[in-house]
Amino acid sequence: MAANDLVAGTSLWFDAWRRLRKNRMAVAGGVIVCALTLACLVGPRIVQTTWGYGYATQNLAYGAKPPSWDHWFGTDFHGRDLLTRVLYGGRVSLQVGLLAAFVSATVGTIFGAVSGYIGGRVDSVMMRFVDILYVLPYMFLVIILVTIFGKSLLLVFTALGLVGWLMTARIVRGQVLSLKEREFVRAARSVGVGGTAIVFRHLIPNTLGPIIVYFTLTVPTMILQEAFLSFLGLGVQAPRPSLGALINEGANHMVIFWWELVFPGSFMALLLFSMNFLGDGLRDALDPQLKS
Amino acid sequence: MGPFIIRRLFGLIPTLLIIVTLSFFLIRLAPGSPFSDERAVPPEVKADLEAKYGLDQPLWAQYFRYVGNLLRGDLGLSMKYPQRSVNEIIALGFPVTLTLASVALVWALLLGITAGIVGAVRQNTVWDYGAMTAAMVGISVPTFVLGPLMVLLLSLTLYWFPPAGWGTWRHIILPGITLGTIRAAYIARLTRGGMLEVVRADYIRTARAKGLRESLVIQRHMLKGGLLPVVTYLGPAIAFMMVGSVVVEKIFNTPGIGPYFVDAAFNRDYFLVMGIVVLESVFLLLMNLLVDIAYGFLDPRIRYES
Repeated sequence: MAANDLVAGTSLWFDAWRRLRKNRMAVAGGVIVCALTLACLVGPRIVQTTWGYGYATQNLAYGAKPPSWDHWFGTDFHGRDLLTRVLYGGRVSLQVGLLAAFVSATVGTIFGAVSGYIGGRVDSVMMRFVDILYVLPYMFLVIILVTIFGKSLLLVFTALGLVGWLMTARIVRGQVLSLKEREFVRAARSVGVGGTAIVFRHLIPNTLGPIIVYFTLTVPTMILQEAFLSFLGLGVQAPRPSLGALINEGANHMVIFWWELVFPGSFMALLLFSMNFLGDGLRDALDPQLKS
Repeated sequence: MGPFIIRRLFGLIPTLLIIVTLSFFLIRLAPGSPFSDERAVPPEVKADLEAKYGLDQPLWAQYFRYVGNLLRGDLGLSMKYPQRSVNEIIALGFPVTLTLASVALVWALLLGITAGIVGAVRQNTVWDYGAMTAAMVGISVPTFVLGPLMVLLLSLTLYWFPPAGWGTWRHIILPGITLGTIRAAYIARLTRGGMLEVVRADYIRTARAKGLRESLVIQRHMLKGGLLPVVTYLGPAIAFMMVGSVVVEKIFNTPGIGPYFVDAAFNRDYFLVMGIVVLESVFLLLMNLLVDIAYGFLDPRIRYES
């Protein structure tokens, strides 16, 4: 293991890729995720050039109309094109999801790796801290953070990321605890490699598999959390749409304008559904032991 | 078992104290105050109000007073609802939330465990794929989509259930299903995974070899071994349901304690926020303890006596 680490590493990723490709549901999930992401990226511009409206363009004379050729998803109460708003909202949700998952993966990885590597009393204090944060009501922390830092988009995902790193920290710590006794770490230490370098160059790269798996499953969770915050009016602020805000609006108007609820709702469900399948497939591919 | 439980119960006290301390200072250090809302209050009235809640004293004195009251079970007065104490607000809403949580839990367990058993026993068949795809749909449809959609379909179109409110059993069904479905989906996946872990274990083979009927092998042996991950998941899940779901109770206008939390945090209704945080933490810690105790029953290899 220690001597040909590099060779084993590449073949692990190659193996994982082969296993992933064989998993039809995961591939389908991946394709749908890519298609939806692409639609969110270029869709609003295509709508803009074809029909000439953006996510905040109002046409009050044409408010709350059901789906038609000009407005595929219909229009909302203020006469804004719902397709553009859903695609733009999807873009916001994807941004928040990816960045929040990235923040939480980074914080969690570093925290867990340092805690596991140092070990001893420091480790128990650091993990005790994680345990306590874990018991503090999640929403309480997010709400406090959002009210302290304001409601900007950047801060919403920082707040989500800052409370979402606990599980990653636990996973990475567990991995590091067993890895640090291996020969390659002892070898590195014996030739005088410092603690920081061992953590970042030797330990963290060897835990990348579980980190990636957990990352892909965190993205949909974060999207869900952001939508939840927006649903409560704490997330992304108007007139910028996010999927959660659109669903909230739709739920308020659903008696008369069903399309305002159904389109953003199904878009979000489809996005999360395909992401979860992709994440599950990745887990099975990268960590075959977990699959029974 | 007895000494173990008592030791663990005492072990919860410092954790709880840390949580109370952390959340007390967190919410107090957040900007804003409970009396800085839209209406401009004259300074004398404000000073009067602050004196009523003891906010005019130094923060550390307030902290010790809060902890002292907490030990006597007094959660303080609400600032947004001045006529009521936090204890009264919780006492009014908690039975409603608890009823809702129980219905959701029964629904989640029935649906989830059944689907999980079907998936595990008929592994890699159409049944398995169907059950697991359904579970994935359940996980991917957020409650704030599922709830309004069910209202749209079952109340406003078919008139089967009232769209909101509380009072009769008909009011409980829709919020209960909304709250329980996502849990059912997780339980289904965990049950299937847990049962597949033990399906090839020696004790299952022994059970079959001694001629036990397949249905009894599943019930008595596979399910018992396979339920460990479900129990781990259920502990925190039940605790969270017991303090109410903000979203579900808002959608269905249920008079539980769920919606209070977010509103109270926003209004800086300090004591109400703290009351709900304390309640939630106590439930969470107790449920996790129960989970550990349940492990001992489900898996005889786990022993706590040293």
